[in-house]
Amino acid sequence: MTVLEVPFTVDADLDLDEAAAPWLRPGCADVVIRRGAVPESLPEVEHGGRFWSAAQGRFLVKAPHGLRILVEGGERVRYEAPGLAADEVRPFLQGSAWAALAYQRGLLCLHASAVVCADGVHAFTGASRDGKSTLAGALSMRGYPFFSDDVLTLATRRFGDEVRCCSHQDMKLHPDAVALLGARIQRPVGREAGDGKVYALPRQRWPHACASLKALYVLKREQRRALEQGPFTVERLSGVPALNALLRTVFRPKFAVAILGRGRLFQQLAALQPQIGVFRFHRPFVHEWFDRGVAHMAEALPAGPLPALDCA
Amino acid sequence: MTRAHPVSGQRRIAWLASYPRSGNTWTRLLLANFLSAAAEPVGINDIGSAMPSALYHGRPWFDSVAGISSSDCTEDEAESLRPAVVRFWAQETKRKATPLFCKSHEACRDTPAGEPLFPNDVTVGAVYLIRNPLDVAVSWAFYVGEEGFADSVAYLNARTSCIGGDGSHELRQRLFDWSGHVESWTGAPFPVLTVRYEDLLADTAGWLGRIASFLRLDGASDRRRLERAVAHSAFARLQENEDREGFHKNSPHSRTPFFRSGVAGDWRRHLSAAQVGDILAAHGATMARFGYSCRATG
Repeated sequence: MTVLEVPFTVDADLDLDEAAAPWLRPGCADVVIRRGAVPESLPEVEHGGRFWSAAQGRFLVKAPHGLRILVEGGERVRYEAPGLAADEVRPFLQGSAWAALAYQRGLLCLHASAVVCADGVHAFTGASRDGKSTLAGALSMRGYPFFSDDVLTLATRRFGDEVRCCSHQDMKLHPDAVALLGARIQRPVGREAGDGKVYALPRQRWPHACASLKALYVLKREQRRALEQGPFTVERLSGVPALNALLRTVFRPKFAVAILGRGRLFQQLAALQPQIGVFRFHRPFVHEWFDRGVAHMAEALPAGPLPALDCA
Repeated sequence: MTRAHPVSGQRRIAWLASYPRSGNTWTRLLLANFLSAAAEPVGINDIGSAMPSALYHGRPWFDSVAGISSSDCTEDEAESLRPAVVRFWAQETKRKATPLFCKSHEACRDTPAGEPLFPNDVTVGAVYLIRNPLDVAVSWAFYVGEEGFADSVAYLNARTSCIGGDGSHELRQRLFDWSGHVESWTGAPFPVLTVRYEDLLADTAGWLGRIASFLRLDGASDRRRLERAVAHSAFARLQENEDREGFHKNSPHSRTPFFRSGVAGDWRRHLSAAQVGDILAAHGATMARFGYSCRATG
């Protein structure tokens, strides 16, 4: 598989996730991330309000404990984090602020976790806690290297035959998913260990940050009783349902509308849709059916590529 | 009847509150059908498109409005942010004429930061649905796929009961015990219309009219419109709709439909005398206050 380049490079004064390493170019990067003073609010706000706001090429994100992140012109990111450690800043910097940065640079971000198959990246999307990361983590144990967690940055503004997508986040799991996968824990996310997510190692990890996106699967949470009546299914979507599914997959859609504009966002999604397969994966959302769901998805995917980076 | 505040400025939120399994979703469907006033019923999965509404405990709503991932916050952090999130939602939502409907199962209480979880300054009022806790225990057990009813009874009786939270697609919701929940809402510092589920079942159009009037909705006395909304939300129709396309709100663990029975007094077929006794011992005083006893129809 061709190794593709990241769409922009980053110079940050705090440690980012290991997955972001290919983006780093200290001293000569497209984007500079620094700790510094960030205003409480922006003047002449065009979109947003209390939690986030956009005005004249500037985007302000606010998070708990007074953390504020200002993203400017797609080139500068400044964060003010009174008394906060890097671990507490990173999730918001590599999540919401990263999306604002990508949108300012005209790129799309999808809310998806992904694995690599022989033909390219296959991504899983769904609402928060729908099991995106857990499914990708489980597939990494079946020969599909883990590619990205939670956010997938699309690296091209115009989609031709190939849609380049990039990863920059390590795998984060909730305790129940760690137990389900038997995953190896690296460290807690944030400062409050035991309260929530942890960084965990996938069984195999794709060693590059970018690859070609081939398919997107919307995780559909079915009830136990529905599955007792019928099997798991992977349903192909086309036309308007596929476009709707893509629209729902956009990460921080309000940011995208505020920065890119509704028209441009729809234009990009409409251009993206014919280039990738869009599917809906119906599966039960109960632990005892999890392995069957993973096996069904593994059967639906093309074979995994070799070699990948074995993390075990 | 006390009425909700008029919608004005930032005061735009109508809370639809209840202990779980007390008719909240059905009431939302009644309101959605009343507000849409369309010839065709609102689908059970389309409530949000028929009226401006949110699930106050929904992670997608929180993440979308706040612009940060609730799963990157601790449960206490997310909970403490929610009053500000709902204020922001009230401010940024464009539709101005009707209230913004916000569903919640939580007790009316303070956040860990000490602020009211249901902020008065954005509230027009609350419709509080109350149901006989004996039936709630049965309905909850079916909803979560419990084999017996012992856990559900214990749940209703525990001051620390929570739903959602870590590992769930919903934010943590602290309920208190059933009586504590009722007391928290009926003593809320804003106008509250308390509606007994059993009364809503017995005279649905009449009570829907009272709810609409309380919330100052146009057409509150339009009998035809009310009756059409009731027909569109008939239990058999909801069951048929769920059977056809499923319902995203049902628990993944449930072995029964979300719209399972809907009747009052189902507890008589399911609860043991000891389980009934446990609930009466814990909640008898509050039940009596709202006309419930183990002999009454409810």
